[in-house]
Amino acid sequence: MLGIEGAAIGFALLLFLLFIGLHIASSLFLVSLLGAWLFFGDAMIRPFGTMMWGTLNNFLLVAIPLFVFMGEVLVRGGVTERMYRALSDWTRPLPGGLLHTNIAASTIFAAISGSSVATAATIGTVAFPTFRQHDYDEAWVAGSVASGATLGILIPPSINLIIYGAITNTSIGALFAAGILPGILLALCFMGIIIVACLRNPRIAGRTQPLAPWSERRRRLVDLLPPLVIFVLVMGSIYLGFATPTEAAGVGVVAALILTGFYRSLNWAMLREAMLSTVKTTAMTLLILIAAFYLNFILGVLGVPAQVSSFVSDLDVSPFVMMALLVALYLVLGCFLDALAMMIATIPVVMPVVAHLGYDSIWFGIFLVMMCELALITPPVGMNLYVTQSVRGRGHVGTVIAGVLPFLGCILFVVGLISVFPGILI
Amino acid sequence: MDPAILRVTRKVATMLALGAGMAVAVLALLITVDIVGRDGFGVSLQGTDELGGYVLAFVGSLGMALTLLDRAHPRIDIFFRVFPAGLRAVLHVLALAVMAGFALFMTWQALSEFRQTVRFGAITNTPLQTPLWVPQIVWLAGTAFFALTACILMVHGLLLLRRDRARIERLYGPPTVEEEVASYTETETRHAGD
Repeated sequence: MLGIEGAAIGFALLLFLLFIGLHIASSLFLVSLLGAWLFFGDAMIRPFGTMMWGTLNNFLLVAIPLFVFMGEVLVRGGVTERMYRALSDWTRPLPGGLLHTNIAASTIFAAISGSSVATAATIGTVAFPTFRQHDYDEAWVAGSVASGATLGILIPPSINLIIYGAITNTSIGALFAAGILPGILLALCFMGIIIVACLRNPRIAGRTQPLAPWSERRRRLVDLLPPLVIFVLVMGSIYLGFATPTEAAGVGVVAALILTGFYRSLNWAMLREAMLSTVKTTAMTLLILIAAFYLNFILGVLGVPAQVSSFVSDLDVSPFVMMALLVALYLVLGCFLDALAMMIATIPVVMPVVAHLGYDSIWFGIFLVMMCELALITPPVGMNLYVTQSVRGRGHVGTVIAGVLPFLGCILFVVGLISVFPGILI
Repeated sequence: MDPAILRVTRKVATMLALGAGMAVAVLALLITVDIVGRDGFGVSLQGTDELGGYVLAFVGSLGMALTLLDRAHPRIDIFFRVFPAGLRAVLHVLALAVMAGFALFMTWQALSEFRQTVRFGAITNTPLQTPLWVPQIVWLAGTAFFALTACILMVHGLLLLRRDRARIERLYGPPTVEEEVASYTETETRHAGD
């Protein structure tokens, strides 16, 4: 058996391998192989092939390529631009005007795509040119784009939640359902903080512009339908029990293809790109998962989760302090680890701690995904910061970081809320 | 110019990945037909869930090589970003070498799994009664091609270490954010690499 010190050494080794730039998948694999070989010799290396085939054959994970493909088709089919324009008609009268469009568009976009980078890239591309015409404060524009995009992994369908569900044997349908409310809550918090900031300093929101004529606004409202239809179709069929998440994803793909066909943007070049991108995203995720499932297996036979659990219960700190420590741990890890890697590497160790505190696995899934959201916008490696900066195409990434700060506070607030009232998730 | 072998490898990798992508699209169609039939008319295609598992295995094997060539297997570059260029080049090649080792290990494991399937003549216990070697041979071939690709890239990287370290950065360093964003915002077909 491996003591808590041994586990800590293993984790340090993993971090070292990651820092010298080995691929995330190979780092996870090397550490688990080393553990297996040191403690069991050949015996625990042989199951790898069977486990690899099992991972690749996991029907739950089949939802990943399908949902990614659905999002790819919709993004490349121009659904986002239309949706953004239609939304901006209705958010403009609020204090903060177009800034709310970023949040609202990200929220809706999140409901059709599980990727945060895709959300930041597409919303940002539409948003920045629009804002420059109206003298908005760039930090707030960038901050709302980067932060709004993090909703993509919380609001279903979410690739992160599928991965979490597959690793921990938690119902993906239940996780999806649990993600909706905190997602909407977070979006409302984002909008709330924009309103507060703009009331205190109206210059943030630039010049006010006249609204488009009523008839035009009503006509453009139709553009909000496609994402809505897809969301209702996918989530509805899961929620009402017509289909499993994987089946719902399959139907979502077909619906997305029909919609883009309707917009006349369905062609071979677009499909080819969408397919290649889907395959690459899925293959990248699967390679990490193959290594992660093996790591979990090795940690399990080494008895690490049980060790951590008893270690924590011996610590005898209050649940509140423990939660605060966990959030602090994830904030630090999120500063330099990739969100997905952070999630996968910490599940086996943190899961027993959270269970010890009395939270269930659905709650932990949502909590973990919100920690990933933080990781996506905390410097120096928050992916969304750089994606937003790259789309922005001028100035310094510091502006994006400054813009993100108020929204970071919102995420922490909602995390606190679900910790104190876990009942929100059901 | 890249050596011919790299260009050929990329062509084959793209073809394999496209094949896997089409399998995903076909799977989506099958699932939809199945659901409409099941909930609408009470008839069901048997075994779409089983086929889904095979499609995932195809993506996770046939797609691996192109993912590596397009540098889409993630690495954490925050720390070695500050290292001197010469050391970075060495680390890029090291990452490729470890990846090649990992891929070879997976191929070896897939091979022994496959041989066991053949020895026992395993047939799935499902309505489809698939002879398991059929999907597994695709899995094995895809994984083997991934290992081959990783080895080729490693050797290329090693050769470049002596001649042209800047090329290593360009070819085997992590992709820039701009490249990542471009993949979502450009409508034209993007030819990655080269």
